[in-house]
Amino acid sequence: MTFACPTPVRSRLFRGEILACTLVAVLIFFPAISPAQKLLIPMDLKQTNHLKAYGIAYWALTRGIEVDWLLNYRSGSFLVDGLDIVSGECRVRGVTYEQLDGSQASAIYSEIQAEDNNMDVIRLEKPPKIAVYVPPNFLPWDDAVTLAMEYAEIPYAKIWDDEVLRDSLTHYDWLHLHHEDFTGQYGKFYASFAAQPWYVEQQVMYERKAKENGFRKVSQMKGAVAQKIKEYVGAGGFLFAMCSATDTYDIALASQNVDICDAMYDGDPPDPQFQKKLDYSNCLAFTGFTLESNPLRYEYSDIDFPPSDMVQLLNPETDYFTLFEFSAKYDPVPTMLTQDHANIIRGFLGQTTNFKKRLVRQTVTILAEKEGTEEVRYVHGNFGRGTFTFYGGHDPEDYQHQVGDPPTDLSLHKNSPGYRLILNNILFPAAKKKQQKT
Amino acid sequence: MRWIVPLLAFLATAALPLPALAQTNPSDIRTRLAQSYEKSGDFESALRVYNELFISDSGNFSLIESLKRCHLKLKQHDEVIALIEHGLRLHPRDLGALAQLGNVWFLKGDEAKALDGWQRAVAIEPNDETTYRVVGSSMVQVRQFERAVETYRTARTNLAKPNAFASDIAYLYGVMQKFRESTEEYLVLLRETPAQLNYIQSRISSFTGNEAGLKEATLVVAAAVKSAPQNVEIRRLHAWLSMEAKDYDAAFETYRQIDVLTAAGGKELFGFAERALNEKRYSAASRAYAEVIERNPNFREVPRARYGLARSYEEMAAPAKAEDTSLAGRYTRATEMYGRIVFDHPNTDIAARALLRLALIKKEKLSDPAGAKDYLEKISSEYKIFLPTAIEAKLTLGEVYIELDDLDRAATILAEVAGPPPFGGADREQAALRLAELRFYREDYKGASAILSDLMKNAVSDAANDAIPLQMLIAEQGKENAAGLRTYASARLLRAQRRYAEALEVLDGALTSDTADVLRDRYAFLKGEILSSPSGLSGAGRTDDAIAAFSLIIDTLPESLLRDRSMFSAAGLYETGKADRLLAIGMYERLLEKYPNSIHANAARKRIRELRGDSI
Repeated sequence: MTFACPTPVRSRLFRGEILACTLVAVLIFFPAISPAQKLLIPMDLKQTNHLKAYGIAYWALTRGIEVDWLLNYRSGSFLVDGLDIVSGECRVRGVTYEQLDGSQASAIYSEIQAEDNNMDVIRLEKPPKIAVYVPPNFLPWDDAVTLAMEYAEIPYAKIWDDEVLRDSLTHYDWLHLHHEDFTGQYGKFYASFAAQPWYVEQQVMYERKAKENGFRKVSQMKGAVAQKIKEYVGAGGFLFAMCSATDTYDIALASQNVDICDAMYDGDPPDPQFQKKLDYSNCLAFTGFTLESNPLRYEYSDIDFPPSDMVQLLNPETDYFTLFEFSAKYDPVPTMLTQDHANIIRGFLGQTTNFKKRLVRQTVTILAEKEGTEEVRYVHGNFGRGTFTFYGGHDPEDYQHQVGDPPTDLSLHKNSPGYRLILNNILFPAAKKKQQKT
Repeated sequence: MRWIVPLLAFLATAALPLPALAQTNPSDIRTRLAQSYEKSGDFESALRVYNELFISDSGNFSLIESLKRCHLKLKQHDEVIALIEHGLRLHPRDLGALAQLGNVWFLKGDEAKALDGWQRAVAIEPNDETTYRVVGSSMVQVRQFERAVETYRTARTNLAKPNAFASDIAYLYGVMQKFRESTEEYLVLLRETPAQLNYIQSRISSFTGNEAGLKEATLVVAAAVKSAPQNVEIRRLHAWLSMEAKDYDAAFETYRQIDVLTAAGGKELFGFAERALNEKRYSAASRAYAEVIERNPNFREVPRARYGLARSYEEMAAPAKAEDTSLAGRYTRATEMYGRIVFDHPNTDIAARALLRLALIKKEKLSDPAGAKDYLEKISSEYKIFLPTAIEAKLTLGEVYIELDDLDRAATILAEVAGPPPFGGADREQAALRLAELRFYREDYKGASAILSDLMKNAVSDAANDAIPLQMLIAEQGKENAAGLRTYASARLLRAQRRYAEALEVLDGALTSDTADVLRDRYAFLKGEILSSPSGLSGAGRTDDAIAAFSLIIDTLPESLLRDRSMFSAAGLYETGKADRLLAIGMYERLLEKYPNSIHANAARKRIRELRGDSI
């Protein structure tokens, strides 16, 4: 490759200027292949701490150090300039790295660019600003995404209904929906936990907040919040949701103008025609679903499989899902989201575990599914100028995380393939926009 | 037998379920049909049938209720209101119907009319407590908690019962997160029914997990104690709240008063002291035990109280920093109290435990093995029936005899504990390990190795963990470097006997005499350990020497298996002994660079981050 000075100018250059031009070219281009070295952070089985590796990539971006994400190269490795501060930080955080000289780095780039290799390089440029939608009160469960970000040391802000309703989402590139119920049914925990202090406190606080924001019912406020989030995505935001935040979000969008909550949730019975009045065209990911009409049943709709109260149908020993492989050069986004050192991943339950394939919109890309079944685990789609990703299940390293269980200690699961999928999503907005090849 | 057939026929008829007979009534069949529709969620169809039935039976209360239910499900509030009004025309003083009318107006979104309905209900029988209960409950059904509280408060005035509905009001305030008001109402209940203390504690505990809730409840109850100092139950509630807030000093003061007020003779205070000791609140525990003993000499738990007091004194005497070895009478109070227990309560379990504590203070805190020996021998001879204490005493005695250089006696005692029952379990393994070390010190490598092999069979035990490195050392060096191993063993023995200067002399000699000795890293590491040990040499300021010992391994013995440990230890000394943050970070980083898989790597990472001030 040569550095291209504009031809009309080149003819008029003095020798000194040519030299200067060449030097600039060297400075711009050669750091990538010069003997000044590169650091490869492998993400295959050689990596000792996959989760912290994402943190290193994020940390480098915060210091203005660009990171190349090598899609499908050794399970989605990272390549950065061989700076001492990066290698030192890798050592401190326990992240494996390899020092490469210029020719080795060049060979890797060549291998990736070869047409017959399903690989590509994505340049990560700026650290995304991350927000997590989380209520201010204590709730007796934790959230895999915040656990992952805290373990990987990726900073994030906490926002809730007030901020969303006051359009604060525009300050963030990426939004994660905590284990939230956007239908206004308080997680449908009524039958099991109605008398628990945390449940009572939650309901009172939500009701007060709804009133403060001018809504008569919590369900109405949550519906408005869901709509605001949709507008944020439409304007170019990245939305990531797990567990019950996935289906309840779409249910809230579909039920904007109909009461689906029973008396114990909002003081009056639901609209008897609620099922017929759902407007699926408002949804992001799902369509044609049927709501669960029993207010005491711990389930929202038929999107979830197996239903939350029938998880015994699953055998933890045989519960695995498979990641799809995409063309790195032609479909970089789904490729980024599915980078992993394993493509068959151990399943894990949640209030919403898997999505029924027939209820997933046709425009949505399925990233992972349980092979041979109708169960989809991980989906991605576009809306307006933004994207959304829904990931079923609650905690990738705690098969059946119960209310009140202690948070998972990620230092015991630093190579978790399930958690990697979450962190792929966090780095994805850092990618430099690239012209789509198709 | 001909009578049997008619009898069976009669019995069969009699056994027929009543509904089966009732099916002959067409309106009953229609009712069942409507109920089936309702049950299946088809409220429109249910309503159609109920309405048909209503035309011919408009005074049927059950039918009206069914109609109301279905209309409510269909959000047909006007129809429900009409039905209620219809019922009220038949029964104008129907309290439940009026309260329900208020609810339906509320659901319809007309709060003024809702309020009117509820007020009409109250006006039916304003002098009856039930009226307010029905109306209040209706309001709670639609989550109108504030209005329900207002209703109950109105009841208090109208009925001239200032304490009525305390439990309901307290609960509602709790739900509304009004902790001060909730606690005040629970106090009303407590004053009226002191036996409800446990119930009240359980109710209040629903918000004491909340910091603000605990604070407000405590303030309210403290004020109540001031205004009613003789009320024991309020004081108990106050003490409980203090302990919930981990304020054991305040709880102590409260229990003192309770003990006096209830003439408990120390029982109340003793119970508190035991809890405080378990919670490691030694200051509060010691004050409580001391007061129990002083004020209640005839209390039957005085021996236990004395032991608890001595334990509290002992724990409070421990230096705040490990390096602080000043003894200056620190343990005098504890040892005096243990001594009095032994003297005043001889031949008891509590005396045996006191003797063991005395021995441990002598051995561990005061470096007085001879003094410890006397106590331990006494336990072994006079208190052996108190088995758990006796076993621990034996094991300690073995260690004491090693320290006193009576290795034969130590071996005999340790062999006894390491032998067959009554001794066993972890104590047996610890004794076996000590015995193996003893044989190692005495250059009986074969004997040591046999014991260590046996210990390693139980791979999950702590003793096995310690047995492995010693076994490896013997296996590697026992034959090829007998002289070196002998030197090393003698230095280890001297350290075990706390003869640190002599140990260092041996190690220095070994380090200077033969620079090719493969055990040089062991010598240097042991030297570093001794020099950095807080209880080590009387001469302080040996940190530099300790760092130098570790540096010998780091800088000159690159193949040593102890190099990562040396780096970690040296970094620790830079950090704590020299307070040199940068040198410490540098050494930890060097460890990570050279030995990324060291067992110390995680700890080194953590130290670097803490020294850097990272928020992890």
